[in-house]
Amino acid sequence: MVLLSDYSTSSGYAVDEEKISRGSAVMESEMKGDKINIAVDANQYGMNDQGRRIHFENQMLPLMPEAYNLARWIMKNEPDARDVVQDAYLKAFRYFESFHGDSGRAWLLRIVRNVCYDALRARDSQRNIVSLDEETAAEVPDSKPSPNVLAIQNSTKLRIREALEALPLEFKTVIILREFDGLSYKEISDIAGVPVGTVMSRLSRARRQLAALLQEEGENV
Amino acid sequence: MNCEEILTLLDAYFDNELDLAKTIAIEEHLRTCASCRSQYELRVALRSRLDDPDLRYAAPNDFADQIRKRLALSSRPSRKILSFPVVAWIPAAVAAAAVFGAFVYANIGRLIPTETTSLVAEVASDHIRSLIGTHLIDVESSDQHTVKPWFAGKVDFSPPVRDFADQGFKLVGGRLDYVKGNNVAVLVYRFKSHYVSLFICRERTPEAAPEQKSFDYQGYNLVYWNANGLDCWAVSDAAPGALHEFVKIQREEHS
Repeated sequence: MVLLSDYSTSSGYAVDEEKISRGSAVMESEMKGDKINIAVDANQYGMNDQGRRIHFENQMLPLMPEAYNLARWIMKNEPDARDVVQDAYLKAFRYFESFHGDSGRAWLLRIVRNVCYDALRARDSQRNIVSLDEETAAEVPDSKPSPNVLAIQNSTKLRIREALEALPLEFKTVIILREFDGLSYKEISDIAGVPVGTVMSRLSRARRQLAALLQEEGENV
Repeated sequence: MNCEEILTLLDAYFDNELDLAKTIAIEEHLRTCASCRSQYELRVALRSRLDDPDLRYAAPNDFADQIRKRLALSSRPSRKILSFPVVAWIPAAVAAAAVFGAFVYANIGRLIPTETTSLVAEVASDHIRSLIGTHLIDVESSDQHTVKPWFAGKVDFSPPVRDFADQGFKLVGGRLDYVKGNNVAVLVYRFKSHYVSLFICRERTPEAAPEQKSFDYQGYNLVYWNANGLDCWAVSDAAPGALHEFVKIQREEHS
């Protein structure tokens, strides 16, 4: 109550009006740590916050299609994908100050990927996590019978989709980041939190497995 | 390099991640080795099949707006809304409302369950935001036959839309809003110098659909009721009497 009453003092609002009219210049001076009137502290924070949010939205919202696509592939349904992308954006906004790199796309997708994996862990308890394990994923048989190019070229969209869906999670993730988003090994390594060499071997195995899946399906028809 | 070494680097070559020397070495090898070349061609074929917009999931149309909304909510907790630019215009009134609102808020928090409290806060905050921002109405019309069809396809129910200009509540339009993860139809009415937002959404919690209930939140009055499987919230800074009159008219019309 006492604090709130302080807001109504005329001096507080005088400063406030001035602040609003001065716009962004005020935000800069705030960042430099200039004198801050405690009575309008929350107000200054509000303005600052709005500017910060707009800046964040301008930088990160254009990347939403990639973020959503990745989440949708990993989560396998729309409601979960929506939830994780929203959570990822909130998280990204909270930690926006920690983003100094050049690839906003990789930075955001790393958060999306992590939120997805956390959500999967919560959703499926340990079940799916087993397939996250590098060793389990490594047991994927090498492409036998040797896949042929025709089987791949003749695959329908549906089969491609199913094959991609059937890949172990880590494989699916690298394929999406590389083939759909065109990210470099370095960026994928940042997102997945593994060395570049691991990105390379995952992509290699993922492609061989995709080819093998399409080959099998081609034979079964 | 032998075939094994080539195959180890084949994906990096395919993805243009190798330095020039290794790239040249692999290209030379592929010219002469049919087996390695077929592995390379496999990747080319895969990539061309994956290069298909249909395989990418497109985000729902309104999704960017939903994210914006969530961000706005997260960065502007309801208490701070009071100190938003509105204060520059009417400091004294808002300050009074703040004191009053804080008092009421502190008290309703004790009287009603937290879930409801946060819903009240969210509905009220949406209304307040619509007034201080630019998003008061999406479809501007006093014609119910314009406003009602506008909601088709945007919400999965048909909100009852009526103009009550002759009773003092003039329909000015509608907007789509987002409350607790649900699309909500909002009808906006004007009563003298006040706006009334009428939030309508599908019944969320049938077991908690009680009699009409009134709330105060930071100087705004809210009335909740449930009719025909729809949850309704009327919000305004108009006097409680006026708001209750509005609710009465609405309920008579649709009962």
